[in-house]
Amino acid sequence: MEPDPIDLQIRSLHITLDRSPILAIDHAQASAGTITAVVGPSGCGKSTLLKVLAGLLPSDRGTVRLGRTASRDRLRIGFVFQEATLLPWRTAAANIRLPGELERCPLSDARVEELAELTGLTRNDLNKRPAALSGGMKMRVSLARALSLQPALLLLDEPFAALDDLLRRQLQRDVRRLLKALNITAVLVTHNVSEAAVMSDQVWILNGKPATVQDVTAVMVPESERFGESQMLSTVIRRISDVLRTAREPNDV
Amino acid sequence: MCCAPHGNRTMSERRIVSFLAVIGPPLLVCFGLVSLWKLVLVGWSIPNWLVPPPEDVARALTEQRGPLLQASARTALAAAGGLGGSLLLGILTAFAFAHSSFVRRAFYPYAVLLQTVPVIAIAPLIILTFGRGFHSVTLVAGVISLFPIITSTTTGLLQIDPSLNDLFRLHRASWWQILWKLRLPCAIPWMISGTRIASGAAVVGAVVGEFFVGSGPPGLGTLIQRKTASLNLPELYAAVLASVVLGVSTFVVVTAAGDAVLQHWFGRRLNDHIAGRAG
Repeated sequence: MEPDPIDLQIRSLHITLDRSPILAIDHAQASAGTITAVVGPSGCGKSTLLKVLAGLLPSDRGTVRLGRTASRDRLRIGFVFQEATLLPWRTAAANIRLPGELERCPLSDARVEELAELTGLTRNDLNKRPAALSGGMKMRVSLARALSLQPALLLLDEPFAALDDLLRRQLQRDVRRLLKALNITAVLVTHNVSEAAVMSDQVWILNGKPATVQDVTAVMVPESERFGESQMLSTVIRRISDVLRTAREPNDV
Repeated sequence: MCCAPHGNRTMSERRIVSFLAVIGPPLLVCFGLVSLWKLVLVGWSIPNWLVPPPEDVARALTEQRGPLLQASARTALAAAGGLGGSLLLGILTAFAFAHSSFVRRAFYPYAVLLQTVPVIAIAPLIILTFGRGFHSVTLVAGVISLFPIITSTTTGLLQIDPSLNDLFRLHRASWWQILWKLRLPCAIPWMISGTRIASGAAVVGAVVGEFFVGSGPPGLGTLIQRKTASLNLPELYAAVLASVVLGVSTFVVVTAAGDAVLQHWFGRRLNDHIAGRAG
């Protein structure tokens, strides 16, 4: 049984890296079971925000509340990196099992097969090493691995950036459908405005130095219109692009 | 009859062709060098007592094959012992270096010392402490081959993809899990690369060690020393050739073993692994 989705609330979050203030977010929130895309100028701190949400980087002050808790120790968080980051000596199945091994709750064969089916992998793919998988397949393994422990929150850091257009569109559609079916709260960092619009329920636009959430755009487009020609989607993309255009490029990286 | 098209070759034919493609060029160069050697001797009338002709060396190789094989086996044993010891010590040292930057900073200069101090300088110390003999030759081979293993393995243990590190931290991996499931497997190609370099160094160390600290039944180093003293040039050249063959054979065996490990572990060979990172 999948866990209940949790909401995400950020309050007065300040992050400094190498004595340089990176993020200063007064308030931002994402409802349970929604997908939030984070866009912003290059180097504005999108990936840093994701790492803070994952607990991989500390914040100077402020809180990140996931559901009813401000502690991420007891919550399971899934992370999909920009590269598939699979262990090359393990098969796809063994890569999917990794989080379970590390957290000492091994996955059953049935669970691995279920995850493979969910993410569009075949049984044959499960026995292959990463070197024998295509870029898209590797990303599907990475997604299956991130979902393996039924995370309360899924964080995706530009997961489709390295893929070609056709594959990217296919994966965007598959991942959105999957996250909606599993009812998982997710945060997706991307530099691609149209990806942010088709994938998410709301878009946070980060800007400034230190970066703050300058604008929140709700993406209220029906599922049937998301991946085709849609006037509503075009309007959302145009609105996000307009906000980003007015954003100044920060000096730091 | 015309040659069979490439696609129609049987598996064994393809193996023979690829074997010839590997072995052919160096054999051709060898033939060229021997021919050049003979031409220079004849063309410049160099006397046989200064440089022996290739046919004399070939005859010495045939006549002395028994002693040469025995000496090669003894030197190979010392090199293998030294290489085995340096692998064990080198990997343990690399673990310590990778675990603590303080240990790395404190001890790395002394590891470099292993590489820079000439055997002739440490030979008296080894003789005084351990005496002459096979064990001291093995020790010299170990000292000479230790540095590449330490540096390569340390690099492999430290060069971890930051995202993989984040993944392990996200799932609260213990120090042991990070070492066993991430750092050590990531370091395997580096270890193999270091072992390849160290294998050649171990043979050089064993041969040179026999010059200074060897005693008892002769290895190739002792044989080279004796033939130099007796000015038996064809046999001296034969002994030198035998040490070259031993060095090359060791390198080939270690490379093949390393490729087999990588093929089993990663599903690819070392050169492929270096050319592109998987995952």
